[in-house]
Amino acid sequence: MNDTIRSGIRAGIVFGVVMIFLVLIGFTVPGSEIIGDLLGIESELRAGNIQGLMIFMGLMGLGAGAYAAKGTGASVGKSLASGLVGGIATGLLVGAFAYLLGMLDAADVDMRKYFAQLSSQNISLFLYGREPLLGALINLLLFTVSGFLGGLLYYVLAQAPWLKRASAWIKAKRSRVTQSTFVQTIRQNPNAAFVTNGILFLVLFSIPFLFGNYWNYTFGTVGIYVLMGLGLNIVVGFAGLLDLGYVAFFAIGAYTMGLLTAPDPLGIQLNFWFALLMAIGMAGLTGVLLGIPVLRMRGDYLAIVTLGFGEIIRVLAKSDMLSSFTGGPQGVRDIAGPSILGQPFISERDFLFMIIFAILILIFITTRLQHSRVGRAWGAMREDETVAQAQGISTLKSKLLAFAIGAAFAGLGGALFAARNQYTGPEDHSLMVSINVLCLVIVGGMGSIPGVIAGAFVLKGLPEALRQLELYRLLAFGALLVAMMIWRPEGIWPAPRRRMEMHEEDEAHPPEAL
Amino acid sequence: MGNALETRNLTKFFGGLTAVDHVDLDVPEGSIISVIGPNGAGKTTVFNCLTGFYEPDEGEILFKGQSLLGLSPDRITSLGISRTYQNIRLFPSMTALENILVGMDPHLRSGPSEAIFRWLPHGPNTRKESIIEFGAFLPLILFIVAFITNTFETEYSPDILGGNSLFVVGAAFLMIIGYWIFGVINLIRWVRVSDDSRRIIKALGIFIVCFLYPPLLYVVATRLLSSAKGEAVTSKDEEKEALREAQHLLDFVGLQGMGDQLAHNIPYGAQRRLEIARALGNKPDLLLLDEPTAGMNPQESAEMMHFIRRLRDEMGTTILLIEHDMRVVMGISENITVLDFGMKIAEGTPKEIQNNPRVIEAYLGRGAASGLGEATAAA
Amino acid sequence: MSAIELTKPRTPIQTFKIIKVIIAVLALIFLAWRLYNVLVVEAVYTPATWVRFGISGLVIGAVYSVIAVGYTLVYGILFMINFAHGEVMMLGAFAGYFVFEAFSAIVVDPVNGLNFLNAYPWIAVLLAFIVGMTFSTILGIFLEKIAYRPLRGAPRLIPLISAIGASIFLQNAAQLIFGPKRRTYVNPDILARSTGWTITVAGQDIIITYTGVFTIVLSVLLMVGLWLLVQRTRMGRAMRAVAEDKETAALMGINVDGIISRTFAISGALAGAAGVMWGIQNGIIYHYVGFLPGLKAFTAAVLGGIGNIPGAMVGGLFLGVVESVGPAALGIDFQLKDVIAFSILVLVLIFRPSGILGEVLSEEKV
Repeated sequence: MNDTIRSGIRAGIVFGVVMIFLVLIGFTVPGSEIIGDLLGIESELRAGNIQGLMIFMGLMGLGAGAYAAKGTGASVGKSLASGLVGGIATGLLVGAFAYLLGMLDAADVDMRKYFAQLSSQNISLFLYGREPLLGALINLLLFTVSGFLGGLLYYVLAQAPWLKRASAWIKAKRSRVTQSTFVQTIRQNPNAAFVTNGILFLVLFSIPFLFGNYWNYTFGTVGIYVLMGLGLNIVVGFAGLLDLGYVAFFAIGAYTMGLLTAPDPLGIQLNFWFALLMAIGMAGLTGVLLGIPVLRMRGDYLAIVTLGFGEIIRVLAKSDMLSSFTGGPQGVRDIAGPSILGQPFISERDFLFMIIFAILILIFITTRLQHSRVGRAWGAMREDETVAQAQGISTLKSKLLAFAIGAAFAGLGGALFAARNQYTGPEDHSLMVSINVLCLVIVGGMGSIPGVIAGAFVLKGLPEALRQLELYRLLAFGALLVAMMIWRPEGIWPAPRRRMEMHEEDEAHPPEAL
Repeated sequence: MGNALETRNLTKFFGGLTAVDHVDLDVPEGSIISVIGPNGAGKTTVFNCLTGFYEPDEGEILFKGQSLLGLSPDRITSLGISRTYQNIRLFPSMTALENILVGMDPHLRSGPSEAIFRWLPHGPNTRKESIIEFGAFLPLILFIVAFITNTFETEYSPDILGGNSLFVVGAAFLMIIGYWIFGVINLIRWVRVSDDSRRIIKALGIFIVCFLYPPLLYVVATRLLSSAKGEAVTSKDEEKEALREAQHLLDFVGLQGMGDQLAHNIPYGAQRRLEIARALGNKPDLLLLDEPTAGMNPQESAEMMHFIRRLRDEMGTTILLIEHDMRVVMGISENITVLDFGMKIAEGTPKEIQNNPRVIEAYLGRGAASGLGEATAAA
Repeated sequence: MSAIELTKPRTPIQTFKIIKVIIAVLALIFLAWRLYNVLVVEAVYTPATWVRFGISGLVIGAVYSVIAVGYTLVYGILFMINFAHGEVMMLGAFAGYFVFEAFSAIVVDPVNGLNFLNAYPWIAVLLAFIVGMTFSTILGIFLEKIAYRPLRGAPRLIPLISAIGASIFLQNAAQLIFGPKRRTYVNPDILARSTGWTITVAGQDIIITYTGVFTIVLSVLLMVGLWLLVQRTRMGRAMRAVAEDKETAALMGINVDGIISRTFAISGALAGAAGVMWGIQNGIIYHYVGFLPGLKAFTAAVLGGIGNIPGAMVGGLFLGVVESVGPAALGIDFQLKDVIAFSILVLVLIFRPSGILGEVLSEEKV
């Protein structure tokens, strides 16, 4: 009996704290609204949806119950009991908190001075529009019941054999398809690759025509992040160098494009294409110059130094001292756009075209490098730098190459970004950009090209779709990073070798006798 | 026959500990030499000094008469020294063949541009040709400099060339035309020498593309020409050739068929042999083996002994061995050096070492010298 | 036997060393020239101003020291940069803020308008520190348990990224919960900012603030306390053992996980103290306040030699002073003082990666 209670209380405390946290960050409002929208429940309030919140709380209670049941194990009785205990514990915590807030609100204490999300509205939502005591009791009841159900749910899902049979059946079906002769002949037919690639290209290049300007702009932004992701993928994924200041190269590309084509501050007004080449070149050159002193350092130091460098570039760009050269805090305006054969090529659609084209070229370059002597050297260096050097690989040259190529890719991204917005300034080049790109590479899958694309879509495209949760985007980012590192460090779409690397401790291969 | 390797007074300190204490080693070419000693005697430290991982505090290391002091590990390897490790250090998530290919890296020439353009042969072999190739990009740099000093008029413009930028631009133009002409010449020579069936179309294509930056024509054409003359290879051909050689090495160590297996999935004994294959990829003159028979049963050790002998006999490799298995040591070594607490306490043929009381004392403690003299002799 | 060659071919490593020396000499000449310019030729600042810069540098440096020691403790044991350390400091600062706010709201003497904060200021300060440090300690322990412990065996990159994620999470959680508005610490009157003793330097008056002295004294006390803890106590010995060699320490019967938790706890406590000090000294706190000081404190830790506690102290003070005096001395904009800090980091890592006082870490073995 003891461990049931202990497990239940532990679940209660964990979920109780989580719920209190969610209330403090004001997640009750958008959370309940989203659930309400999904289920088509109308809301009587201006902000938040009472029924939605009830369902949300119920779901959390299910989680608490399941978590409690997990801690106890097999039997039905224990699962249900611990689920119940967990539910009660959570309910008590949440209810008490609700009661406290309700009473304080009723006494006209404005807590928003200290806790920004605790407006009267939010508190009343939390209490389902009732009196504090009643609202608290509703919470207690909700959690108790759903906790109990959560325990039941856990037992059903985790213990019942039918789940295992179902997943086995799915696996069998999947392998039946992939092993079938039909699929195999397609895979091995060389023309098949040609045809599939052809279809892919057609689809890709027709995208700019299908949607409106807004989506073209959004896809374009995702595309630029894909460009940068591919570059950082080389640095982090292939060569294993943690660069936290990647935005520096992006900035150099953007500013080179800006300063060379805009009328002020420098008045050079060069042609777009020439400036683009210069931007890529400057970024690559900076990569080499930065790399030479920096790449001898230990991995963690490299991370901090690159971070510092990224910040230095931003501060310098923003400074008044250099503003006659860089445009200072106002940035550079009226950056020129491309023109092909005399015709301006500057609509969102045109830019998306260019971006897709650039992505394809970069993928080509990356793949070729990956499967060559250069790529092997990077792989060896990443796995065991000392031994790689002992095998005759000049680790410095290898690292410099990766760094420079990555920088050049970022420069391309920066130049396109600046030209598309016709503006660039210090705010475009903050640390967050570096972290964004790093996240999408890692979450997508280090060293994996489809992973980078998947990562860019998830981390850049998804927030566009989930506009309501904009406030919580970064919070979710941070949590996502930690969660992914713990559960799936190889990423959403990992390179096939990586999954093996990351889970080395899990796989124990007994040495076979010869 | 001279010495492949020599060390004189090799010394390495770690804080207060003298790990290697004035050790002299002589390794004649084509010989098999062993270094033995109790654990902690400094044997692996010696290896680490030889391969450039540690820098010796005193003493000298000569490889074929050339000093190795201060050279980086990759430089030392490219001179012809390879090693294996006490606890096997393969690249775990690369395949067996890929591991060997990494070992062959010093003999490969393709760089990033050759990786991207697989039909482009690798760059020049001599220094003079390298400089000429580099010069093809000089006009670009000159243009940029002129551009900066002329058009880019801000308070930061250096007044280096000022009104003389015209000369710079003129010089750049001349270089471009010069390179372009020689490029055309080499392109025509290539067309005549090459036996590629589609060479005319390719030549035309290259000619047109290189109009973006004419000196590029020189670089490409010269490389194609040397490839047709057999002095250079394309990355595609090089990879093919390298793969063939790696497969051959794989067969040589008895691991045929395991080429595409990931290194960390391969059984232990095979991993050791793979490590040796990787070391052989470098075509080394000197091979350092660190406890190659660790963890092996007597039969496997005997096979390894034969294998090491084959290496020396068939490939002419000089071999320096660290070993604990006395059967192996006494069986194949021509000469043995014994270390204890970093110092050399004995050197000689197997027979001499077996009967050396200081050696026996080092391994088994005082008093064992007399009693065990017969036992080691019997081994 | 062949003769020993005395001439060796110049290798890449040696060439690089020569280049380093040349760059170092050039940089020193440039610095000397700038300093001469600013100090003698233009003489913009009076000696009193320089002293003022120096003192404020020491004060900020003291805070950096405390944070830096936290970094160095964790790095010495786990070889990882605890990116979220700055956020732990920030949250400690907030905790202290709430204590002060609470106390200033309790009215002790309505007639004279005296609140608890001013009636018993030292109790308030003490409690602020206790609460702040406790909160940070708990946060540090949980941080380790949730974000770092599951990743103990993973390649170095993974825990680093997890730390970055934790840092982002904490920053934004603070922003959401407490709001983005900047808050001002309400010091008790006896510790009001910008009040202090007045001294005269070269004919000019400068103020040595009470808060400044308080900060420095407290930092020194904390440092000394920590040093004694690590060097003289059983737990400190265990910490050093775990830092040297985890496996052997475990074999000796040391509870490695417990020691690591405790290290994070101490590191968190220090960060919390630093946070409250920051609040008292600088006044303004908000969700992002931990980021830059965290980064600079890491610079200081590296500067002093990572893993080396006295090094972190020295590094912090050094960085604080250079940051304060630097822009003026070089005649450049004050906006660029962060650039100076980062440049120092880069330069130290290039020229002397083991830091001023040297690293205290176990070597990698082949």
